[in-house]
Amino acid sequence: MSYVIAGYAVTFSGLAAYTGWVLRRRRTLARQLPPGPR
Amino acid sequence: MKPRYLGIAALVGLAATVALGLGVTPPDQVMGDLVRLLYIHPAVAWVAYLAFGVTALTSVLYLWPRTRSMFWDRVGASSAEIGVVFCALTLVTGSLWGRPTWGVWWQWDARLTTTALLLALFVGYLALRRVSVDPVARARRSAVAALVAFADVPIVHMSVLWWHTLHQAPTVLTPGLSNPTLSPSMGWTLLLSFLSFTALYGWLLMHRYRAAVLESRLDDEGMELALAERWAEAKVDAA
Repeated sequence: MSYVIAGYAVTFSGLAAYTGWVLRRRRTLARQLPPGPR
Repeated sequence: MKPRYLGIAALVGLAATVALGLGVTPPDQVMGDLVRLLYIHPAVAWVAYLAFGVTALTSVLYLWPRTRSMFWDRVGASSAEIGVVFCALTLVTGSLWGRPTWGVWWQWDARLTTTALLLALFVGYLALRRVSVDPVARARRSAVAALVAFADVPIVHMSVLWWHTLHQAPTVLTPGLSNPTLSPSMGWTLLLSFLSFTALYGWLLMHRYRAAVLESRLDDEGMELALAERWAEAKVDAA
């Protein structure tokens, strides 16, 4: 069962990290630009 | 569909997949609890195929003169990046399944090798996008590269049928979708996992595309902004 737990943990932590990076990047870029279409 | 609703659907679906996959579905007669990786690994691999497929499709749309638009280039690049993440997770979860099943973390088997090659090809695609500063040249070169890289996807999928491999043959996506060898509860949970990960892909693509639009705007307006800041500083100094 430890391999199963590791598989789930790696998948969801990897996806959470990538999701966080995308959202942070979008917010950072939006802050650097003057107001306009997002 | 609004991204928020898609995100909520993905989150609820993934939570249900984990609950069903770890707590409700039965263990397999041969593999025991290891079969629970079935609700992660194939769906993650499917999303990698889908993401690279979208990149290939948008590349064709970019290269076709009548539909040429930077929109397709940005969607393709965003999808490729998501595909790389899912492809890497496919290899990691596959390795975690292979170690207790086959006794090895890695084997230069046809399925594993072609999947690793697919990952390398799309990492190369992303690297290529960083080489050129001219957006039009970058879009054209990367569209061609994406089509070359995508040629590996059908090879990956068919590798278990074309060659003798350690990796098992398809369980559900058999040619003609005939005779799936799954119990109903496992089949429904597997379907839910595919739908949930696909919804997550859609949600990520929307957000990544919006970030790509902002990146382009920053590239275009960055010089103007820098000059405006310098003018503002010069005025303050003069005052």
